[in-house]
Amino acid sequence: MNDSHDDETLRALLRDAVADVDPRDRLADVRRRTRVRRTATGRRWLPVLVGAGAVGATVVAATFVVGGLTDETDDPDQAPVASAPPAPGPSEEPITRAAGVYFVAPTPTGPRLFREFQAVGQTADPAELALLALQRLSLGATDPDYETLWPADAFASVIVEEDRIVVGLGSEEALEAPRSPAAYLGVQQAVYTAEAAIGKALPVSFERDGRPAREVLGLPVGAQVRRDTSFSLLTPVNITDPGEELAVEEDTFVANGTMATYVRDVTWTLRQTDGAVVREGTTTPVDITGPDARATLGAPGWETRPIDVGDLPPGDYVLEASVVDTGQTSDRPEEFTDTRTITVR
Amino acid sequence: MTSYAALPTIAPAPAWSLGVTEARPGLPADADAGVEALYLAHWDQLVRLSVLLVRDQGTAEEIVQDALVAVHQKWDRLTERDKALAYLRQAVVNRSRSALRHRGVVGRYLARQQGPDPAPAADQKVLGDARRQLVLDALQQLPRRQREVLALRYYLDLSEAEIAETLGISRGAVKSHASRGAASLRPILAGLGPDLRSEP
Repeated sequence: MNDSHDDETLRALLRDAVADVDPRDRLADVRRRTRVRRTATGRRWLPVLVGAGAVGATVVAATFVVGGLTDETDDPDQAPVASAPPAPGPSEEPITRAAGVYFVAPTPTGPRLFREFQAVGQTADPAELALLALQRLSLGATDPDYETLWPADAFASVIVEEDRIVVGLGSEEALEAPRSPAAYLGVQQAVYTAEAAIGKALPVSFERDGRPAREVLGLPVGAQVRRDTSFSLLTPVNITDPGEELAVEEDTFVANGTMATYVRDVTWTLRQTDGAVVREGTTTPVDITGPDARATLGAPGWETRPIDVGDLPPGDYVLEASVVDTGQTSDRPEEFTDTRTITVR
Repeated sequence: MTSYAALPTIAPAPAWSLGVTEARPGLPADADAGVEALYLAHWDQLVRLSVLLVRDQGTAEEIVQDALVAVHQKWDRLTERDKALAYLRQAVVNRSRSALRHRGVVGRYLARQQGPDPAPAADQKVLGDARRQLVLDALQQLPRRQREVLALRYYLDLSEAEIAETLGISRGAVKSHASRGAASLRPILAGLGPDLRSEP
């Protein structure tokens, strides 16, 4: 097989491989999205403002700088929160969606929420995506460090209204079970997960059999529960990629994730399972883009350079992202981390 | 909310308002018209390119749509028609890449649920759909750079220099990814039996 024969065969092979792909006409979608962007320019950052409200104006401004200076951050996923997302129409076929699902894990200052992405199924409907994501709270996390406070079959329905998300609870246990003193975090698990799926900061109304729930996980709740953006609720550093158990088959991989608006530096290490550090480095701020990243709720992102694992022996390694932060109630700096176990092949 | 006033404006002053349309040969001054022209000329081809990279048509359509929206936003900073297409192409490749990164999670779940597809025996005659699946599967098995280089070279017919620019790598690297990628696919070509160019 000589080179030019190879070339021609490969050309024919690749053309043929996608010859039966018949792209659907999406010009109307493109037009709608560019129109929304233009009319709502001034509101583009509202999701960040909502998320960072408790942190203060100076930190919020710093977030804008990160977003504003990076030329390639034309992230359509940061669509203005004030305009309705395109309604699913006949042209939008369901595709497999990943959703950000929030779990609970320990930190030096007590348990906090951490997010991992899970493939939740095929849907183009935001309410259905939210329900599928919430149901993952009952099933638990892929990352063994993460826990859930929700019992089995806790979620039965989701309705997205203009100003709230109505979450129908599916079992009495979801209302009453005093499963943990951290029930408050459990309630917020649901609020964060539902909002992430919808891509909007909307309060959640919990219901059981069509009537407002007075208690959720044993915790008395009001008619609407808002996302709690307090300092100590969400982990200050979270890994998005790689996912737990990722098999790395290439010479390099890039890790990324989110961080709290008040975090300055995220560092990382790659360790063998015996704890020996084989790679380490710093990260740079980025916007996390891409079609599966809609659930990131506009948190600032970080990303590593490509991490070279080409000459590492095959096996399991632990990637750890960490930040050092001094909390509001203490003078002592604490290290916060998130880890993923990956396999180098 | 005073910080609101300090926000950077998203769109710079449009170039056409300064009368510099001639400085941007071949580019409509209006982003809407420009993006629409790109859509009409390249939508099908770029979706198929993305399918070669990410395998899934729905995802590919989302990716190219996102890329077109990104081009729209950047329109006033593009200087000529070729640049617009090059930027669009680059956006499609980059976004396909980040879709795959997130796919790490998705794929793991799907793999658990479905298990791997059984590979056809080497002597089995593979035709039509099965062959397409086989080629797409084989591309997915390649390291990411090799897959990108092969798709840009053999599907879009880009030159080495264009591929180097699209991927932000050297021409030498393009060459080596292309030859390694082609070498990896060769056993599959051999397994396909009759020369597929002669098939309808």
